[in-house]
Amino acid sequence: MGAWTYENGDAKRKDFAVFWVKDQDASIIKSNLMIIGRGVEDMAISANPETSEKMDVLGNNNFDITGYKKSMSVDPVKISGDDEYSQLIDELDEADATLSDLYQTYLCVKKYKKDDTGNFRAWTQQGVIEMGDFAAGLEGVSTTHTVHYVGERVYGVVHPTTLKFTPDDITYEEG
Amino acid sequence: MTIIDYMRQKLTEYPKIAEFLAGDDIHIDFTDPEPTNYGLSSTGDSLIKEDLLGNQTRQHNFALYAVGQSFNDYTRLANSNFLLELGYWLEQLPEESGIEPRGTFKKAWAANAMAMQPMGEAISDGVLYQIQIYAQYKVESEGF
Repeated sequence: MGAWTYENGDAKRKDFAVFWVKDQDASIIKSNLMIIGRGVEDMAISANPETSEKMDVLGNNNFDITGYKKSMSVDPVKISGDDEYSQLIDELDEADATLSDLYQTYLCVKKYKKDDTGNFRAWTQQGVIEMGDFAAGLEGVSTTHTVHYVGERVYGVVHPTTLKFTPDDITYEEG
Repeated sequence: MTIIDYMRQKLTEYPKIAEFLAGDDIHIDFTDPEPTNYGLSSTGDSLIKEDLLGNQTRQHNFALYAVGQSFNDYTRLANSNFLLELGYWLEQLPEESGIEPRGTFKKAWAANAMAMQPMGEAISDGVLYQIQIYAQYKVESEGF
């Protein structure tokens, strides 16, 4: 891992962005990305840790975290002609989509963390969309959903202007 | 155009204002004491909310002052109906882009439409009416 530089001061929320990768088979560049979060005021990636808690015969408590089931709730997504991600969600809802139809790829970018060439720290990961409420409230047609992240994160960097994603070099140890 | 320019233009386009103004523009921060005249005052702009991309929903507050004829109950009732109908009309304005910088007009509504004070010693000198107007607009962030 190279040397990373953090921006001075507190990182602003808008400096961490989640993008939907429109075409999972194409290069990850700006034209293939749609940012998520228009009109959303809270969109945390929840860790959802798997825990194990035991008390031994001596009365000592033991607590282990054995893994994470990360997820991200997106509420609301307003259906809009300007937002292709909202159109995807609308179509998934319309189709009562299941199984592999709900797999999408996401790109998460930390604009506040840069390498020595000015590229942003980023990763891609697959997510499964769990549909939520549709058309609640009076402010337009909106939906909610939760993205359950699955598989490994592929870490890398994103170019600040082209948003081209380049994975970190993978080195294999010869056995 | 700014949200102030936008609302001034929209109010000028309101058909019933045109009838009263006979082609004149709405004054800004000034109302001629002679009936019938209208002035639009900006009374502040505030941030309502901001999404996590940095897009802002803002609200601009206006007060529209109008000096109307007030010879008798009939003219005063007509003035009150004018303010009521203006409020309805404002609520029907559609979304529209073009607000500087990177803004979109979202909606407007009115409140506190009332007769404030007579303009002279005689009621026939006209009455100053006030209607508060709120305009909500969205400002897109500069992007990622």
